[in-house]
Amino acid sequence: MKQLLLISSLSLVILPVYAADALPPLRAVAQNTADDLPPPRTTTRKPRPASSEAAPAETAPQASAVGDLPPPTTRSRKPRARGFQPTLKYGVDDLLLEAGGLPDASEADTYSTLRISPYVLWQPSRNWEFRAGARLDGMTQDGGRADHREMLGDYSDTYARYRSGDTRLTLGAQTIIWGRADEIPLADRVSRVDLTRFVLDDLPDRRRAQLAARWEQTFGSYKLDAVWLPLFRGAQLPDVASVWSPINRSTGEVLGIAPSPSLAALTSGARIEEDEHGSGGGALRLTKTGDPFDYGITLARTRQSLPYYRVDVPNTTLTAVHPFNTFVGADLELVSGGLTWRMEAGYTDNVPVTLATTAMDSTQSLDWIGAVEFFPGGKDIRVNLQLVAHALQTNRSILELKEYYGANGEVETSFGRGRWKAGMRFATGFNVHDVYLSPKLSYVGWEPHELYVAAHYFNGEARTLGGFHQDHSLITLGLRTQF
Amino acid sequence: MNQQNLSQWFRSPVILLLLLLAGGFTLMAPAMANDALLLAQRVYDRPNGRDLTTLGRMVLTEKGRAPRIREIVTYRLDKSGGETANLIRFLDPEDIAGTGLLSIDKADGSTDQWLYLPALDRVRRISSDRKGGRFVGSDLYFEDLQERKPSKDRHRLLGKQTENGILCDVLESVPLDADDSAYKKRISWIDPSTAILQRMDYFEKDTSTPGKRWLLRGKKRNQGYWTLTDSRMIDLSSGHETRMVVDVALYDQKLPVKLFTSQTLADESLESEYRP
Repeated sequence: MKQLLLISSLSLVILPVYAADALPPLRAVAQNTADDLPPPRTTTRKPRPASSEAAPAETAPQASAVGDLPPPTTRSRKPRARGFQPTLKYGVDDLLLEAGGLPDASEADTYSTLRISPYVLWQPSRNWEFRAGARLDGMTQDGGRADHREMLGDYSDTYARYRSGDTRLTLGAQTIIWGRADEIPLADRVSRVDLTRFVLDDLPDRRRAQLAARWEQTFGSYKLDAVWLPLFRGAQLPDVASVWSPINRSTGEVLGIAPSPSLAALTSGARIEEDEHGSGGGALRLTKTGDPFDYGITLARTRQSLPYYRVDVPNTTLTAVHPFNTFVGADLELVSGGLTWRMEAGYTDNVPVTLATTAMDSTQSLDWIGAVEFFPGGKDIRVNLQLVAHALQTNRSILELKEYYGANGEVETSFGRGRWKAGMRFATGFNVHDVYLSPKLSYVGWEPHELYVAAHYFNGEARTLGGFHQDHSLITLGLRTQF
Repeated sequence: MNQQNLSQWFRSPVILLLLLLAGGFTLMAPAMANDALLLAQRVYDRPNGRDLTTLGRMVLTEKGRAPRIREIVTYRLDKSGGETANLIRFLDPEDIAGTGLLSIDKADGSTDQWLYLPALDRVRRISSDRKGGRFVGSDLYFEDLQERKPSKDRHRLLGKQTENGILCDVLESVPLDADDSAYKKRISWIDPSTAILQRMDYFEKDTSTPGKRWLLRGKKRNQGYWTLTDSRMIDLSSGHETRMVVDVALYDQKLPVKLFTSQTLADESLESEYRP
């Protein structure tokens, strides 16, 4: 027995010796840095006085950090959520200052932009919220044969919102972007497009608020979203003198339509009109979020804000029209194998097209987008790759592309401890030559400001976006912020 | 060797000692591993309430540069069936304010995640496999924000060492599946009396030199629960560090399940009244 005890104690002695060899070296205390933490902000979360029934907190600073801790705040003694508090917020949603060079354009050598959108948001009670916003867009195009300056004032999101339980009602000017895919979501049927800077900006900045009545109702993991557009407004178009206009008077081309001498003769001197009267229609979207995947169904009878230019040869007029069309679409989103998959498919009727005679006709279209998003190696690079397919269902000879197959997406990363961002947006056609490349390098270490240099390269054949703007490749230097 | 000889061998005190020693080692090794797993489980199971709300800040500092501060509110709810829901909302700076992240950690170890982007007003499902990605430019990886189940690692007790003035158990944890973690190894310094981590070294590129170090700087007992109120994650190669400060922690507020839905993720107003 004595022997057994001896052996047991030997084992116990030996084991710690073995483990101690694996211990890392002791840490040098000097690794702790000086405390430089400012006190917490109290702007929107000003604490109420500590109540007498509040439980006291017992603080136990670590041995090496006694002097470094921030002073205890009174609010840390109150074990209770703040509850609803009326809020009044105001600021500038977006400020963009950008200077750009157009090395290939004959219309201008430079293109610069100023955009500012202030807002005020008031939430007086749990149920009500009011927002008022405005925006000012300025552009200047200099150094060529089409110098142009423009300043445009408009409202941004300005609405009254009511919430109760699972119901949310919003009336007023709103920006509503439906869909799952990036860049060109098919379910995006109730937003108003902003074409003043073509595709230079990301999707949210290529949309504007428009008057809408919106009812959002949640049923567990389902959400029904109903939108009615009582007063239609077409896409915000750049002035026809702008390099980003969908009508190029100097070449006589119209975006998306095959060029021809007759069309060029008409376009160069045509009067351009807009047909915007009446309602924009309405749409329903039902979505489900949760296992095993997220999905949505969209049914819309709306007018699209992007214009179709109806040619009126006798009156030498191009009229931007927005015919009603019906859209039925479905979309889903799931994660599998570390990849996020997104898909949208849709059918649209009454899509306007141009016959060889330049007369307007209509047909149906089938569209599909498949997207995959992933982070190679689980690190900081994000890749979003989207395949797109668009097919017009007509046997007639038309001036638009009947089919378009392509890819688009974005690759982005951050480096320098998140102070720098680099990215590349891209789009390319498979069945037609159509290229858009937009590399961008941003410094975001001066928060919340972003300083960036970017390029936008366009190339392609007739009837494509890249082809229409192939002389408008742009290099920009910009500052973007909000406060 | 006949049976008699064998019997004599077994009766020999030297052989008995050797056998018992060997037996001691083989029995003690599983015991040590078991102790290590139990310790890891104690850390994982440390009481932290049925639900928790925190208001805090992440301070990103680099030598010679102004610190960058992210203000964050977080909610956690332990649901039935071993599921845990987490909601994170950024309050500051302006360029990321309103951005939200909803995570549902399921009992089977998988995680569903959705990101809310205010500019697009859209909830996007995202993969939770981005373990080595930096969280808002900080020294924290997405993996560091997740509670890692002890069963995902092989644990070993290395001994005892003093950290923060406390004699700590030192625990080594190596992922059972190397693809399941951004790290090759972690070493933790654990206060045995409270099961609170005092320090953790992260071995990312090799198992001999840590790349990152997490240090506890302050803790506070709120409503009977220990809250880690001040800690730092240090990049040992650059000296860059991210300090995490919890200004307020509220436990057991009876947070509703509805707080952890895509509806609330997309509507900050529904969540803001639960903030401290």
